[in-house]
Amino acid sequence: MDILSKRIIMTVMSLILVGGTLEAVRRRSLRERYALLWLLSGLAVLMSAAFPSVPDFIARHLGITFIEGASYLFAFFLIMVIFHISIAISHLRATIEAQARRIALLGAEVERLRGERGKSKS
Amino acid sequence: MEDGRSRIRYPGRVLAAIPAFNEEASLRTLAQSLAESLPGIDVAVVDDGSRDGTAALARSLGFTVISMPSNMGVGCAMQAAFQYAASHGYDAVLRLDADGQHPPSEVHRLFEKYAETKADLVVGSRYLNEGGRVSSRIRGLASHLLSLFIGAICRTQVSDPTSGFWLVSSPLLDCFARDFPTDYPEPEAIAILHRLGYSFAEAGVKFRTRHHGRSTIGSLDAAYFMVKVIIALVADRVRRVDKRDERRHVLRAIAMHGRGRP
Repeated sequence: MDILSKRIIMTVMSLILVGGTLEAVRRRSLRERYALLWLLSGLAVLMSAAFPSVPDFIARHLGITFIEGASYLFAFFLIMVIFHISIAISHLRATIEAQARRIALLGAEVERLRGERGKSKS
Repeated sequence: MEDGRSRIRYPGRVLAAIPAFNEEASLRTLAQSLAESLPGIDVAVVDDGSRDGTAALARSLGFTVISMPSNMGVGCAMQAAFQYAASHGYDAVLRLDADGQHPPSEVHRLFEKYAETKADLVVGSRYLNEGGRVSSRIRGLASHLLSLFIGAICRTQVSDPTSGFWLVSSPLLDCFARDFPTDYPEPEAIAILHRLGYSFAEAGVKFRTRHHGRSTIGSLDAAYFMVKVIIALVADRVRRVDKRDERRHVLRAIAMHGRGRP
């Protein structure tokens, strides 16, 4: 794989990530507090596609030279999995909040009814 | 014996909603000033998973207690209060902080502003009048930048976007019972109002230095807080509006099904 096609793949990957994040936030599938991380990683990939000397520099200093292409793919896969989990957490949080409110309001209602029963008994 | 305050004109049936997290120390003082300034007002304390005796004390003071099963955050707690108010037929919710920084003696200014404007949301602003207290330089600057940003979104002056000193009237109350922002409730709610067709007004009030505890926003966190809020506001802005939250739809839903139905 020549360097140009690698850069094209990276660009497409990062655009998918950034676009997916923005769309998920817009559709309320993803909360903005979890979106920041994904936007930043998307932009980081985009930056390294635009300026390949930066990841090259880092890779040289870390001693990474082989399985480069495969690791990109693997990283992308992991990223998609974690992204899915972030969306799930956002949904979960909304559900838990609704349930917490329901419990709290029912508790207040039980207290009120107990108070009324106490009064009518005495 | 009648002083000026006892002639307060309430905007209908008002529920004072007090979100509280570990506020046992300041609740008694607040109860006293409530009894002095707003005698007979219904009070609901939303205990947001406190570990101290907040709920028990509130009960002994004769307040309704809405106990969240765990600490869910102030936005979630306030939404529970709005749901309680809507289903119990209140016309308005007055939000007060438990730490005493929203003095009940200033509430009449919110009521007067409501009588004058009939705004769905009346916010007590620290910065509207001269002599407003700015807690620190950085917080003041962050708050100022935030108000410029929200002002640009709403196209109205919003001098104190992080104030929680609110008077919310129906049908906005019913809208908030359905849907209320949980991350940064005050600025996010204000920013969404005009898109949903609700009106907004500010009343100049004096805040009191809190009795106990510290602000949830420290000076050092102010800049970071501002960035997060602005991201949240931008996210809110690009979202589609839920039509069912619009003022005319909420009014129609109330006319058809009554209040307090989610």
